[in-house]
Parts: sequence; structure tokens; C-alpha cells
Amino acid sequence: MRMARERSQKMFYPGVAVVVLILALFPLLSPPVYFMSMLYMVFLYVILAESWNIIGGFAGYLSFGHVAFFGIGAYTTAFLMNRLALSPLATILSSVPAGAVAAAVAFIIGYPCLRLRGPYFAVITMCFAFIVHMVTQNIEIFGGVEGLWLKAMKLPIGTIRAIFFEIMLGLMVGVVLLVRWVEKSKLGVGLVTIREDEEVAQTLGIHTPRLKILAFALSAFFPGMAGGIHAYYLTYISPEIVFDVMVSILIVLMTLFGGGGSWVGALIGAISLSLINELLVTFVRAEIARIIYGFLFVWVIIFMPNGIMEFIRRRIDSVPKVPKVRSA
Amino acid sequence: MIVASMVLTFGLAIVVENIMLWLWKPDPRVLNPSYSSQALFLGEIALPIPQILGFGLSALGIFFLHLFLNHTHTGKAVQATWQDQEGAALMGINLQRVSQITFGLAIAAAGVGGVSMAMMYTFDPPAHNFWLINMFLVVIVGGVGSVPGTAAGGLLLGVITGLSMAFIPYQWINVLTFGLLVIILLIRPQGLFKTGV
Repeated sequence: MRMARERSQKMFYPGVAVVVLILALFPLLSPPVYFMSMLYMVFLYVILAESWNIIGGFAGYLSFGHVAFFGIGAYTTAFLMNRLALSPLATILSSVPAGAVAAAVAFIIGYPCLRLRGPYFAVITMCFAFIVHMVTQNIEIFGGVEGLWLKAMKLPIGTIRAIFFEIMLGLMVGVVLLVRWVEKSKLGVGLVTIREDEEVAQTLGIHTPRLKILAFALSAFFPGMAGGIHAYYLTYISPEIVFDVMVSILIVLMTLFGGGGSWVGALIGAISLSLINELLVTFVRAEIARIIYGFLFVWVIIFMPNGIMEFIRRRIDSVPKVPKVRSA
Repeated sequence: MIVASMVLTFGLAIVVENIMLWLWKPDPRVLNPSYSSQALFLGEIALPIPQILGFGLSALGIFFLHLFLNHTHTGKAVQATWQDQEGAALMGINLQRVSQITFGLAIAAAGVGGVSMAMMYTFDPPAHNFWLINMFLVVIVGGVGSVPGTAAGGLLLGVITGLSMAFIPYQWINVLTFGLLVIILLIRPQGLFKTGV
């Protein structure tokens, strides 16, 4: 068992490299644009779910307003591009300051909000997302309800999609590896301690406010970056699109579906749910797809409260494990 | 557990919203009974009938909810469960039954609210996201688990939105109310009218 685990760990990076290489070479086959866009959306959801996992999965602070950071990133990039007339490369790079803005906002609002726990934190983050949405809608320089346009690259559509595909893939790999690192690091262990029992964590000498804020800012940075890139991908953003409350909920559902608190869980959850959503929408009507989707989710929460990964793992391991309790 | 149920209800909301979208299409609708544009006049003050009906329905609902919670056996069982689940179970209260009753009652009450809202505002299946925040606001202002507190919270929210319409542009009112919710959550998460947690 231990040998197998050691070997599987040694095989991890080569395995990842092979998968990433295959994915990265995919656009060279010049596949239909649809498939590239579909995979691009999968990557986007993986980034969002994995980032949410840092605060929601590890620390047990369920943020229902994560789309706010995505939207802030999107607006920062769009605003910078329009004001400074950035070149395409600079626009893509401006997703880094976009992420930084999102992280700074998370830092500021996290300071008071992270004192609240459980459902109160969920409500306040949801509220925060609504406020950001409405404020953006009412400010003229952000285009108001009409939104902002970004000048598209002057390239054939297939090439543009391929470029964005590679960028999103790179960001996704970075985020997944980072979350994997967080899971094993002191930060991750501290966050899990907070989830299991915050008082005990404090007693053990863990500086819980600092850890929580760090995790919150980290989990806001990558949605901000992804938002910046996505804004350029869409070439048009409006508050209705980038602050859609449904996205906030979807991120939570995806992570919990796969299993919060582990990088594999969020990865599997985001990939499977976004693919299921895509397939359902393609083959049956969108409303019916969403109905099936909702029922699937309800079923998972009731029968596999720790996510499908935990469920599968327990099936495989014959040794009964101590159940991981998600904090209330 | 509380958070798990909360996440679960979001899943249910997706299901219900899309069933409604499927059956009734996403067009905004308005409830238009014969009296919807009429008003009663008390001297100079006009009282639109839909608003009076909404007020009456909610007052009645709150009255019966209060009666149920404080003056029936089942209602007291509900309160006991809220205070201490294990203690309630030890006293022979069927927790499963209590949660079924409370969830059913909560949904019925929300339905009554929906009917009176429908006479005043247009509505479409995704409208629930907006009302959800208002609902959180009212309950948190009033204090979770308190019927008179929630009633007062609702009244307060109504007065604040109504009065602020005179002073600030219409599109900023929601920012104001949601901002209020954030502030109340931060300084008094137990509600404005409760002492202690």
C-alpha cells in the first residue's frame, strides 16, 4: 500500500505533464471551435471551483458571492483596456492586476466578514455580490447596464479560441497545482483545523483571522484573473453576465459535488458537472437540463454529503475510514 | 448541518425555478384582478387596495404563526427543537416530524407572501434571487427565530425603502438596503431587537 502510494506520488508530475501536453496539443488538430470553447469553459469552472475550495472547502467558510471577484476581475481588465488602449498581449497580462484588485477587495471585505460564521457568512457574501453588481450597474464609467466592449484581436476565430484555450489551460494547471500544494502545506492544515473547530484552532496557537484572510484573498485572486481573461474572450461584458448569481451557486455546487476540502474533489466536481451541464443543454432543452442538474445535486448532498470522491474512495478502501465531518 | 441544508435548498431552487421556466415560460407577468388599480381614500391619503390586501394577509399570517408557535403543543415542540435538539428529542419530540412541519409551514408562509407580492410587482421565475436577499434582510434584522421581531423587521425595511425613495435615486435603493443588511450582520448578527446571542 505504502509502496504503491510512493510510486503514485513519483508518477504524479510526469502524469500531469502528459495530460497537460495532450490537452495543449489539442488545438493543433484544428478541431471545431465548439469543442475548444467547451473545454475552455470547463477550465474556467475548474479555476473557479478550485479557488473557492481554498476558503469554502478547506476553511469551511461557504462564500456564496464568489462571482463578485470574477466580475471585478472582468471589469478591471475591460476598464484598463478601454482607458489605456492596451495591446492584446498587455490586455491578457492585465488580468494579473485584475486578480490583484479582486484579492485586495477580498482582503478589505474579508476583514470584517470573516468574523461571521456558518450561514451568516454565506448570507453576507451573497449580499456583497449583489451590492457589487448593483454599484457597477449604476456607475457611468463602467458602462452602466449596457456594459463595456473590448476590442477583439484581429485574427481568425479559430486562432483566437486556441490562444484563449492555451491561456486558460495554463492558468488552470497553475491553480490546481497551487491548491494541491496548499492542501499539504501548513496553511492548508491550519484551514482544515479552522473548519473542524475554530476555538480549538485558536487554542493551538493558530492565528485564525490572518489565515482566513490570507485564504480568502488567495481564493479571490484567481477568479479575478480568470475574469479578466474571460472578459477579453467574450469581448463584451455587462453586469448581468459577469455578476450572475447563478455562477456563485454553481461554483459551490461543483466543489461540494466532487468533495470540498481536496483538490481532486473540486477538480472532478467542476469537470463532471460542467460537462454534464453542457451535454444536457445540447441534447435536451435547457430548462429540463437544469431540472435534472438540480435533482442530481440534491441527490448528491443527501446521499453523498462529502462528495463523490469521498464516496468512491470509501468504496475502494475496504478499511472503514473515520467519516470526515463538514462543519455546520 | 445548517449549511448543508442551505446548499440543498439552493439545489431545490434550481429545480423549481426551471420547472416554472419550462411550464410558464420566462415572460414577466403581473397579477391583474379587477381591484388592482383601485384605492381607498382616507381624506388626502390614498391606500391602494393590493397593498391593503398584502398587509392584511401578512398580518393574518403572522398572527396565526404566533398562535401556532406559542399556544399549541406542536408549536411548542418546534420552539423546543430550535432551542436544543438533543433535549427536545429526549423529551419525546419527533425531530423528523418537527422539521417536516416547520419546512412545510415556512414554504406555505412564503407562498402567502408571494401572492401578496404578485399583486404589487411584476414577477418571473428568476425573480426569487432578488427576494431572497430581502427575505434574509428582514429575518436578520428581526432576529432569527422570532416572529414579532421578523414582523417588525419587515415593517422597518418597508418604511426605509419607501422613505428613501424620496431622497435617493431609485436604482440606488437596493444598494442601500443590502448595505444595511451587511452592517447589521456585522454589528448585531443576533438581530436588532434581541439581547444576547
